[in-house]
Amino acid sequence: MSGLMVKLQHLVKQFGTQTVVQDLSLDIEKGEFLTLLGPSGCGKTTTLRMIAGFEQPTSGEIMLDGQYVHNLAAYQRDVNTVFQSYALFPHLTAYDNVAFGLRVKKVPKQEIEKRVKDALRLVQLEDYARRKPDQLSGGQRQRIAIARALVNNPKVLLLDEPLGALDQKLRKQMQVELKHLQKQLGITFVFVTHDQEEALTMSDRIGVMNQGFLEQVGTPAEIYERPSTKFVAGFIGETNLLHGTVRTRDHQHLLVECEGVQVKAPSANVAENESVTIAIRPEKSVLSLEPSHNEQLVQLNGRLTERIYCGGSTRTIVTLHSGQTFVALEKTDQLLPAAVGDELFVQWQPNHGVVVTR
Amino acid sequence: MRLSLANKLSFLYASLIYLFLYMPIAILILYSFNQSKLNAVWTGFTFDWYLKLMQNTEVLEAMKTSLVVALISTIAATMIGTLAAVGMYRYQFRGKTALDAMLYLPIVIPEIVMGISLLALFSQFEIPLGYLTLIAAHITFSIPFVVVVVRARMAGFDRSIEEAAMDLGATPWGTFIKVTVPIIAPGILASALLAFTLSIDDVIISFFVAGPSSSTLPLKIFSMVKFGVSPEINALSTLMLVVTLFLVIIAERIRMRKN
Repeated sequence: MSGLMVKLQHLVKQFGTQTVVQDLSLDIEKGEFLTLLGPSGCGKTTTLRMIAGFEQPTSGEIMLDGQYVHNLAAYQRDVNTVFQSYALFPHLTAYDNVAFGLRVKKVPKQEIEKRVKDALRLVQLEDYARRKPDQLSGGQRQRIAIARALVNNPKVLLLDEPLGALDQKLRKQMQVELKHLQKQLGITFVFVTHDQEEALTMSDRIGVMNQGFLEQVGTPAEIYERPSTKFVAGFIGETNLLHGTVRTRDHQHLLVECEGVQVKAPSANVAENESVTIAIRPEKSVLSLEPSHNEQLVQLNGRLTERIYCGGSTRTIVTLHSGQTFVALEKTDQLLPAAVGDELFVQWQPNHGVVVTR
Repeated sequence: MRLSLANKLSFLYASLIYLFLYMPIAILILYSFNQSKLNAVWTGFTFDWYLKLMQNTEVLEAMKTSLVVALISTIAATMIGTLAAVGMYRYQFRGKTALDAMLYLPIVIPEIVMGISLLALFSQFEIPLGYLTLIAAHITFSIPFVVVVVRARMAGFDRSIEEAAMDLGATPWGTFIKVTVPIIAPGILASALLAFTLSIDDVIISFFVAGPSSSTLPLKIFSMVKFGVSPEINALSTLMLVVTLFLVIIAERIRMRKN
């Protein structure tokens, strides 16, 4: 299971004067679960639709398993799609929906029967074969849509926010099932979502998109721990962003001046006097009533302005002396004995900060 | 239960409205069973006029013309109108709004204008009046109605269903036949029935474009009326009414059930 499955080269898509996807290049490995993540309107669905063949790229090339396919129509491509709205055929039963692709390809009757049954078993809906889509629940329709796509043994399965219409619990369950299915079948998945948690839990790699640009591609851990742009840092999980100017740098650390305070940050490829942003995750910071004398810690002081109960954890919002708010995460059963308005210190290890320049 | 004055009045009002709407038709139907030749006095019940009608070869001939014209024009108009509706739904192009509006415009063009213009066109190209011109004219005025009905059916149509079919390997034509048509079939059927009743009913346009040998049933009735309204005409009108009503009810039921 290695080698290239999808290669997107300098893809551009314009609708009229609007550029929706800008110079996007991306390699997707065989058997990989790749997620395109971004806010609505970032071009992730358009990118998926170009791979599927529903949209023609304005320029650029799409290679599928070693062959250029960007000039082929959707029905000539060896990929299948699971649509956001499921797009089941309302006039056909679940069985006939799943069999549709095989019948179009004139697969022998016995084989169709076997493969459709296998596909329905795979999504645990053998007993619902005779039902029409409007007699199925949202989750069941979702599974039929997946079975209908998978039964064709596509080289790549494209999923366009397939879990968006499900309730929270079913969604979590389907995330696990989809991930298992993908592992079990070894099919390349390209998954589109705006839900960062979904992306983090399911993907082998994530491509974060914003305003038509692919901002960063990496494993969930890379994306979360080492965001390469301000947008990625802010979009994936919660992040505190401190803006400042590089004052001094050595091979280990940078000293960045943020609103009059010197903040130590890990070394990065930046020049002195360059504007940078330091990103710190809420859970990486510690609150304290007393200043620390540890020179190695970064320390900012401010006032506690709000505490938001989130079950096991509590989000504590501190207004720094610069006026900026800083969010820290505390364990609810180990809250600092402080009330709103109290003076306190926010501390973190310098190498827990991430320096981004754009 | 006692009704208040306001309730009594509104009941009276509603009754009068329905009386106003249906009294003429009720009288027509009633007198088609009247023994007397006069439409004024009720002398007794009879089926004579219906029997007499069945022996009238001219009427039967006109009925045949009507059915042939209606059948052919319905099929043609339904096909053309459906394709137009699907095309207008599916594609975005320059000038679409104007072209779209022009599809519906013939609905509001006065029929007499339509009839005269068609006649002018046919004589311009020296096309002899007869079946051909009659069918062409009926197709012309039916298309907008077909488009309206099919478009309404397409309004709730999820475009991604067609994409799903193509995604699964169906060609555009295969997608249209296996997915689009079955889903919008109730709309197509309803529009066909509507086109059929429009064609069966039409007098004004047919009056201009029918040839001497291709008189339709409404035209035949029209010419018979010139010699006075006989119970025979009442019977014929009743039959037409029943057929038309029957078709409209079927069309409505199909539309309601699927929506």
